[in-house]
Amino acid sequence: MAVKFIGDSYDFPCANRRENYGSDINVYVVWDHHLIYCAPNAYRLPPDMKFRDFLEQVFTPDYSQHPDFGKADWEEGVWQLENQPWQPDFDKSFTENGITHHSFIRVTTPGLEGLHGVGN
Amino acid sequence: MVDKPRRLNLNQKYQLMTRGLDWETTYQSMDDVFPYDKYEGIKIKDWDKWQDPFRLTMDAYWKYQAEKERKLYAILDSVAQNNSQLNISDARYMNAVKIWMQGITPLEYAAFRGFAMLGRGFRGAGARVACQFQSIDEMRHYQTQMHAFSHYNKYFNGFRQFARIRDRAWYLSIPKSYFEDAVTAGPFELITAISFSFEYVLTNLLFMPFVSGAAYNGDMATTTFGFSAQSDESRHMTLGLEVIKFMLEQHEDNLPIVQGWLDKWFWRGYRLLGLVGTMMDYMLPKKVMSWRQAWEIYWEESGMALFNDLARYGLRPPKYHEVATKEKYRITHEFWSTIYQFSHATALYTWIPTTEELDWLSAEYGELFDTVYRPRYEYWDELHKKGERFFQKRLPVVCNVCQIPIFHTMPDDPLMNCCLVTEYKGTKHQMCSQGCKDIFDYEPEKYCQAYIPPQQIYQGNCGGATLEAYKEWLHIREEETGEYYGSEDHKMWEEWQAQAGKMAGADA
Repeated sequence: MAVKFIGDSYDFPCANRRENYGSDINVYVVWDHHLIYCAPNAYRLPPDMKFRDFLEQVFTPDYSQHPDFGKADWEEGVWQLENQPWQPDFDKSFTENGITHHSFIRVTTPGLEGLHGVGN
Repeated sequence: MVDKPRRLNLNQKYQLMTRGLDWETTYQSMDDVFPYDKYEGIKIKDWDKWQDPFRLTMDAYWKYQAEKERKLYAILDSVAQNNSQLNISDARYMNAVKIWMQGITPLEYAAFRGFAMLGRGFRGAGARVACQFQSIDEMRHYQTQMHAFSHYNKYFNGFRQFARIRDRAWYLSIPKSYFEDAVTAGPFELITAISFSFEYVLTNLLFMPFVSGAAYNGDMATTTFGFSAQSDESRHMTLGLEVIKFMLEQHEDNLPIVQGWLDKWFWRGYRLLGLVGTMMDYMLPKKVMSWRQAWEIYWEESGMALFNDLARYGLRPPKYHEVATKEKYRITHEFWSTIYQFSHATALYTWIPTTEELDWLSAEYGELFDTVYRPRYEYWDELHKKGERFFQKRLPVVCNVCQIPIFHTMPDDPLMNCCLVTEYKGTKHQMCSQGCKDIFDYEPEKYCQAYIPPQQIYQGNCGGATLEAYKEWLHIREEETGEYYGSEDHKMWEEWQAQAGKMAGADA
C-alpha cells in the first residue's frame, strides 16, 4: 500500500540516506545474549575500515567491561548480516565484506551466554 | 399581547448550535471549503447522523469548567502554602512527575492543536463542535498540569526546560513522534488514533497508574489535576467510541480503513505506554499495581470485551495484541534497563530498586524476573558500589517507527534483541517489531522522513557527534542526570528528612 495524499505527489528523500553522512556509513552491531547492553550499538564509520580494526579499536572499548569479553574468540563467533548467516573476513573492509549503509550485524559467541548464563 | 421569550432547553440549544448555525455553501463548493475530510477514503453519507451523547453547549461548558478551575486552584494554592513537596513518599517519586511533564504534558498541547484542526476540518458541524470543545479541554489540561508541576520546579531538578528537551531529547522523541504521526495523518485517522485508540482503549493504562500513583505517593497537586481532568476525559472517551461507530455505520467501505488504523494505533499506543508501565513498576516508591496486572485488567479483560462488542461492526481485535500480552512479563524491565544505562543523557535520575522493591517485582513477575532481570540489577548494583556505575557510552539503534531504542526482544525469545529491516529507496530502515515494521511498510513514504535522534546526532545536527556535545546542545546540566543516589534531589530529600527527624525529636 502507499500513503494517501492531497496534491500531485508525495515524494521525499529518506532522512537517513547515505549522503547525509559524508563519506561514512552507519553500521549497527549487537553481541547477542549480553543484554546488560540493552540495544544494538550504532556507529558512523568509514566503509573502507578493516573489520579487524573495527573489532579492536571500536567494538572492544564498548564491550570490554563485560566479564565475558576476555573469554570471547571472535574468529569462532557465529555471525549474521541482515539477520542471515554470514562469515566476515577480518582482514577485509566493511565494503568488501558486503556491509553497506545501515547494515545490521549480530554475533553470538557459543559458550558465552552472558552473566549467569541468562543472556545478561 | 407579546409572548415572553421562552428559555431554550439544553437539547434545543445544542441542536441550534450544531445544526442551525451550519449551512451548505453555495458560491464555493463544500469540497473546497472542507478539503481534508474525503482523501483518506472514509465515506460519509449523512453527517446529521452524528450523535454527541453529551450535547454540550458553550454556556454549559464554561460553567462546568469554571467550577472545576476554582476547586483546582484552591488546592494548588494550598499545596504551595503547606509545603506539600515534603509529603511525597520519596524524592525518587518525582521522576515519575518529570517524565510526565517532559513527555506527556506536551502531548496535551499537541492535542489542543490537533483538535483545533479537526474542529475546522470536518464538514459535519456536530463533529466540529465536539472537537472544538476537546481542543479547549486539551489546552486546559496542558495549563493545569504546568501549574500543578510548577511548585515542584522550585525544589527538584528536571523540570526547568521541558519545552526545549521535548523538542530535542532522544527519549522524548518517543511521545513526540507518536503525536506528530497522528497530526500529519488525515482528520479521520487523527481522531481514530487519539480519541479512540488512545483515549478509549488505552487511557486507563495511562491515567490509572499516574493519578492513583500520585495519590498513593502523597502528591496532592497531581492527584487534583487528574481528578479535574477526569470528567473531560470521559467526554473524550465517548467521542472516541462515537467516531468509530459513526464511520462504520455510514458506509461498509470504511471498515477495512478503520481496522487498519486500529491495528496501527493500538501498536503505537502500546509501545508508548511501555514508558508509563516502567514508571508504574519502577518510579513509584509506593506501588499501585504492576504493569502486568494493569495489562491483564485493562487490556486482556476490558480491552478484549470492548472488541467483542465491536465485532458486530465487523471489527476484530488489533493485530499483534497477543505479542503485547506475551511481552507483559518483560517490557518494563527492558525499558528500565535502557533508561538506567542511558540516564546520563536524560533530565531524569535512575536507580537500582531496593531489596523490598525487587521482592515486589519478583512476586509480580515471577520466574523470568528472577532468572534474568534481578541478577542484572544485582550485578549493576555491585558495580555501582564499587564506584563503577554502569552507563552505556555508545548510541543505540532506534526503531524507525516508535523511535524507542531497539531493546525489545523477540516475541518468543526474551534473550535476543528483535531488529527487523526494510529497504526503501535504497536505504535500509530498522524496526523493533513486526508491529512497527508493518506500519513502516504500509506508508514508507511517510516514515522514511522520520527524525531519528541517534541518526541526527551522527549527521552532525545536534551539537556534535559526542555525548558531551549532545548534552550541551540539550542544555542538560550534569547535576540533573544519571544516578539518583548522591544526586541533588537525593541530598535535598535527605536533608529534609533529617530536619523532620530533629523536629520530631524536639517534640518528644
